[in-house]
Amino acid sequence: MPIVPKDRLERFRALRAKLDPAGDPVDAGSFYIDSPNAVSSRIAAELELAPASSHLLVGGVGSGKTTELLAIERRMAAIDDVATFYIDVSKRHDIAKMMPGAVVAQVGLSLAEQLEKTGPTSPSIQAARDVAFGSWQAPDPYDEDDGGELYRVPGILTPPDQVAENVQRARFPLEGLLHMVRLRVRHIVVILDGLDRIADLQAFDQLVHHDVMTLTSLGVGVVLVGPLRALYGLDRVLVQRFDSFHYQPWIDVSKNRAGRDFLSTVLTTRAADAFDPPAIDPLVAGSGGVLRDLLSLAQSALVESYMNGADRVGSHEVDDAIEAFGRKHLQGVRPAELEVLQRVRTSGVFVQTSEDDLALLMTRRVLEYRTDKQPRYAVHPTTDLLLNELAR
Amino acid sequence: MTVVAGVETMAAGEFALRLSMLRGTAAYAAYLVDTREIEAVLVEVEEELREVAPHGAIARISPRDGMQLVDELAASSTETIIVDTRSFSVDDWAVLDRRRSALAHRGVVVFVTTPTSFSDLMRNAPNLASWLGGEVFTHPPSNEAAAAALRERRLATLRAWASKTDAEVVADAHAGVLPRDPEYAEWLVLLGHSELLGPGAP
Amino acid sequence: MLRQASDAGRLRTAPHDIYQLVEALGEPPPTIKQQLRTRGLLDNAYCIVGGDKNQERDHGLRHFERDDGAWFDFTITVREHAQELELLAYDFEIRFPPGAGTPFLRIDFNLPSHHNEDRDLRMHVHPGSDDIVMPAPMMSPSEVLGLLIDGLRMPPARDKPRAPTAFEVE
Repeated sequence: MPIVPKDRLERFRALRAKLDPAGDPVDAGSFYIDSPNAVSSRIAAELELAPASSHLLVGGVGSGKTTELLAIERRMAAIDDVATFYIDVSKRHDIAKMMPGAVVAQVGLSLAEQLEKTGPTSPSIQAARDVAFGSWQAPDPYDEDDGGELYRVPGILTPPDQVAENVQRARFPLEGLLHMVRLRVRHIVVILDGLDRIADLQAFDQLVHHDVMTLTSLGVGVVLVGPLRALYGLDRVLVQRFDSFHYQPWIDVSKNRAGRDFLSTVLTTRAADAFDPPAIDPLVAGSGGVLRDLLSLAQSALVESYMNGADRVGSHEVDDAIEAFGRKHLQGVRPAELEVLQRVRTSGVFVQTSEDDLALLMTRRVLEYRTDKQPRYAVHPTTDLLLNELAR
Repeated sequence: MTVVAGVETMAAGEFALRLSMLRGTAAYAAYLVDTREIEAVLVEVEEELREVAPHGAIARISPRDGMQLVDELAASSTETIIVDTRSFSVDDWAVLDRRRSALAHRGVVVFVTTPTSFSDLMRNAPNLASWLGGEVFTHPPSNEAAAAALRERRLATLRAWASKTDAEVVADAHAGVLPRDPEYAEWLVLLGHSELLGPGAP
Repeated sequence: MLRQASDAGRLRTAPHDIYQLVEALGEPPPTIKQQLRTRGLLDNAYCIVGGDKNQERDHGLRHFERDDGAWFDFTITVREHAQELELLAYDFEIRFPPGAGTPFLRIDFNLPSHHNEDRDLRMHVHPGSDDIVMPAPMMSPSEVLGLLIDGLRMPPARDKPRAPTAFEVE
């Protein structure tokens, strides 16, 4: 029997923690529920058949990409003879400063760290570190004892330098590390998270062209999260560099019953006793099918319940949470963008003609759904009422 | 920059209580403040937080830019951190957005900033914006406005109590037929008619 | 104190409402202001109020509510001297639910008086009557607030009042 805190503040705090969307998705494993058409199951199935294949995954902010990547990792862990490594390339390095070779260097670092924990030591481990972070080297290795001056070789994670040279430098220790891993398993898959936030499509293209190609040429399977812009960019060549392309869309809650049920289940699995049943549907509808926003709204509604003296989240608290979210969501919108939003709201028409239009998609003020293959556009539901009032 | 529909106003005390509810998770909140009042509000928020959670660990930092904030947050284990981000530019918010994974601060981060800077956040840091959820509020306007609101509330209470309008009360005072209840004296003062409080007045 | 009482269920008033009810007024209400002025105490004086001023004991005005149905409001008048607060006066009044034994209790700490005969009654209690007063020991506002929140209750072991009264506050 769980101990229910007597203090209201503690009770609501504990409930809110169960709905934590801002936490490390790594911790959310036990709450994972298969979404309808989960990309993780498709990607994992393809990797099982072809472990050295490459996959590009794109989806909007908060669509649950990282959660799906971790689900892929968990599924792959159940398959014999495959070692899978999840790497967030943005964690240790500013992706805006990433040069080709950097991703390969990060993969090398990740393998080195794992092997160091378990296996015998190897020069490749130190080499991977040196390549990543830089090292002091003698001009001529044989002259060290003569007191020749050491010079600093910059690491690839502290750019810049010539591209081809960097990629080759990064490749070398990785080959050694892969050889060590392949003494235990036949196949290696790397799951690369974090590059969805890269703003420069050209830079992303360079990383794909050099780093992803290097990894696949070494027989390593790759799952890479890319920027949503790649979906709308003019350069579809980028997508074609991968064996498979996967899109993690928003769930069209107004049309997709299974999707709606999935999101309801996400809430009830985490904290069923926090919500009055009539509160669940408005929360799901208010999220617009954006998983992270669903959890954010639910958390806000819990805070409202505590502040209002209620025992559970009811419709009133959901309304307050939706309004607060919507007000925040519209901050920074310019008059011209407001016109676009009103048009989307009233007619569903959205044509991406400019960078600003694309930004409305990136910032989730406009949501795109793909339930019936044809895209459908809508404003974020939390802004609907506010936009309606502004239109009067 | 147009603020389309403002975020809700909330006094520092109530905001601090909401922040204390966020403890135990990795959470972000924002408090929008007029530039002229930010210095005082930073102190006020910290004091109110200490009042609500006397045993919680609280720190207040003023990083010069986004990169420094990333480094400081990554290195800090203090549970609640109040961050002065009034000078943050578009680039600073963009850096934070890209380095979101590196932030990984297990606790509450409160951005105290100006409405303009917050608009920059919303336009240039969509990931960070989504982590904020609905925990974004505006510090109430200065005391003059608050006093006016209070005065109006008291007048509304008096009108309901007596079932009279302001004009009727003033007319009764002129005619010398206002009842002697002290509430009527207060009413006249609130309306700016203390001259009608004669020696025989209530 | 109020927020903790709400969290613990001793106060029905929600946390959000507590923050709306408790205010530091920029200027004392007119009647108090006049009294301060005649005593030369107006400079740097202000009031902390909890709920609406309520001489008619109207349940419709804003107040705090206990879990047992008793409800109260208060006004505290202070003066600021270089970061320190001097307590000048307060009044706390709690009204009890029907059958409690007394309709209300009012605890007053008056402004300093010019009249000697009133000095002994500067701190006093109205035990359910606006006309009857009895002297009371000096208590701080926090002590009185604590009394109103946690004290002045029927003992938990008793399921009904020992001496219900016919005089009730509606």
